[in-house]
This record gives sequence, C-alpha cells and structure tokens, in this order.
Amino acid sequence: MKKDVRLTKKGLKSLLSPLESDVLTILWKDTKEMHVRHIHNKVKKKGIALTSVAVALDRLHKKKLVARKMKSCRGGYRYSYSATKDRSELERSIVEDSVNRLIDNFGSVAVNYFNEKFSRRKK
Amino acid sequence: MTPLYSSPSCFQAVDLVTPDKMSVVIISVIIAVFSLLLIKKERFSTKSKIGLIYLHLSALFFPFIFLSTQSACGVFCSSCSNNIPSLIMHALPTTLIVSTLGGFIFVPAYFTLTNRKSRIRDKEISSFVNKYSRILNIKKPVVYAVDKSRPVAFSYRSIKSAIFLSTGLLEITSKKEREAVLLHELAHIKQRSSAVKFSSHILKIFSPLSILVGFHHDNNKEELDADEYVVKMQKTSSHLNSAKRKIKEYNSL
Repeated sequence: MKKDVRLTKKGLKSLLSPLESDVLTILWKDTKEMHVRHIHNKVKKKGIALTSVAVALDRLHKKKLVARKMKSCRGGYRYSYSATKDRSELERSIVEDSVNRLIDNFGSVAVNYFNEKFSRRKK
Repeated sequence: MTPLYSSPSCFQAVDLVTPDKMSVVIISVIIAVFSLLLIKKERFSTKSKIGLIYLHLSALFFPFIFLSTQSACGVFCSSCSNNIPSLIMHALPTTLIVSTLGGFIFVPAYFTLTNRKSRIRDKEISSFVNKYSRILNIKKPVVYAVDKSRPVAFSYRSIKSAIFLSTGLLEITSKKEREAVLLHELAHIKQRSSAVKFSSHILKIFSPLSILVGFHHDNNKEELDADEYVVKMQKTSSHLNSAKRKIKEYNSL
C-alpha cells in the first residue's frame, strides 16, 4: 500500500476517501462483478455524479483494491469491477502497514513499546 | 572527374561540389523555407497544409539524399552518373515515399499498435457510423474501445481510418452523447485533422527550420468545425455539451 494511512480517520477512511470507501463497501456487499452505473445507482441518492464514481473506481484500481475487466455490452464496452481483497484482508494490511512504518521509523523503541503493551495486556 | 579508387561501377567517386549541384541544393532550401512560411498562413485548407508540410520536408531532405546518391557509393547501387536530371529522378521520389510512409502509415500504425484496444461490434454504433460515413462521403472507419479509464476520443485517417473511444468514455456517456462524440470524430476524419496533426509532429521533429520560424499548428479551428458538424447533424448542442462537461468533470477530479 503506497498511500499514507491517516490514523486520525476511522476505519477504511484512514486509507481511502469517503466515496472510495463507499464504493468498495458496495463491491464487498455484492459478490458479483458490477459496472459503474450499478454502483452509481446505489450512491446517487447522496448527490454523487457518475463521473465521481468512475474516478473513485479508477483510483481503487490504481491502488490495486479493485480489479476490472473490459466487457462487451450494448453501446460498446464497459468495465466490470470486483474487489481484490475482502474487508478483513484490507483492514489487516492497513494495520500491518502502520505498524511496520512505526518499527521502520523508531526501531527498538517501537518494538519495546509493543512488547510492554502486549505483555501488560496478557497479565 | 578523377576516380579516387578503382572499384565496381557503383563505387565511383564523383565531385560533390559543383555549381550545378549547389544550385539544386540552394533551390531546394529556398523551397523548404518558402513552403514553411506558407504553412503558417491561416487561409490554406487542411489538404493544402498537409501538402505544404510534405513539400517542406521533401525540399529539406532532398539535398541530403541528392548528395548521398552523388557520393562514392550510390544509395541504391545505381550507377553514379553525374547527370543532374537523372539524380533528381532518383532522389525526389525516395524523399516523397519516405515522408509519406512515415506520416500516413508508420505513425498511425505505431499509434494503433501501442494502444490496448478491442473492436466495437455493437450494431447500433456500427450502423450509426456507417450512415454518417456515407453522408460525409468517407470510408467507414473501424471503431475501437481502448482500455483506458480516462474519457478520451481520437481518430485518424489512413489506409484504414479508425476511431478510438476509451472504455471510460463509453461508461460515462449516454447513447446520444456517444453519438455526438462519434460525429465529432467522423468530422475530424473528413477534415483529415489527424493527418495535419501527425504531419505537424513530424515537421516539428524533423525540421530544425520549424523551430526558427516558430511553427505552431492551431487545432482550435478544426475542433470548432467538428463541433459545428455535430450540432448541425443532431440539431442541438446539448448532447455534445454534456459529453464535454462529463469529460471536463472527470479530468478535474
């Protein structure tokens, strides 16, 4: 994960924009592949434009959280999207990334702190 | 003429600098400069501009080819005659063939091969393109969907003309908006806009004189003409405008 995790934000929003996180949640709920208009139908009540959904999907694709395939359809071609990781996998990778960064930055101080913290919890 | 070394007929040495040859070179350079200055004039049609660009390039490169056929080894292993008209007969077609192949075949082919694309076989799109190609009196272009999320559309006119629509564009546009985009591209094919653009690029790459003269091709007129055609055919500008708005919106996000 190349993008910085913003730990001031809760859950998925620490990594993704609110729309990206909504889009990904929709993709997780629906197991089948979806296209941009399907997803837009589910968020348009919030006044979100189709182009914004398309941009969010493209950003998720660039972050490798969404896979897409070009499919022939009426009117030419369109992408069908599916999530590459499920929620727990993604959340785990966010935690892993954050912890690794702390260890990279502070080395033994961070490792000692985690040891203390977890040994205290075990007691 | 004194041969510098003895060799088979096509390896004869000849004098490069003679008044006759130098006058051919100077005339060629004058034609190159004059044609470049004419390209800058706004009033010329697209066809004339393309013609002038290739005239410029041909005139610019002609002296090199001309003199190379004059050097010790004939480029085409032709016998090294010292006859000016026969040398022009050799050099000029070569220059024209090279520049035409570059501009109309190699560059479009490179353009087509470097994009991941799939041919659109949708009946509605196919019959729409067929209908307006007939109205515009152009060969029906092939329509491709390019694997790109950014909404873009472009076209070129070559042996086989083609229109490229990105999948991102197909996703976010309605049927009427798509038709507006297709009409816009068909108008470009009719105008030979791509040929002017390709030729202008080639001119900028290969002609040092184009920098000195400050050559700049303005696409605005062609864009406006293509838009005008869309409005004329659809009898409204709303579909074209909403397609443009969506593209702008996407790019601003």
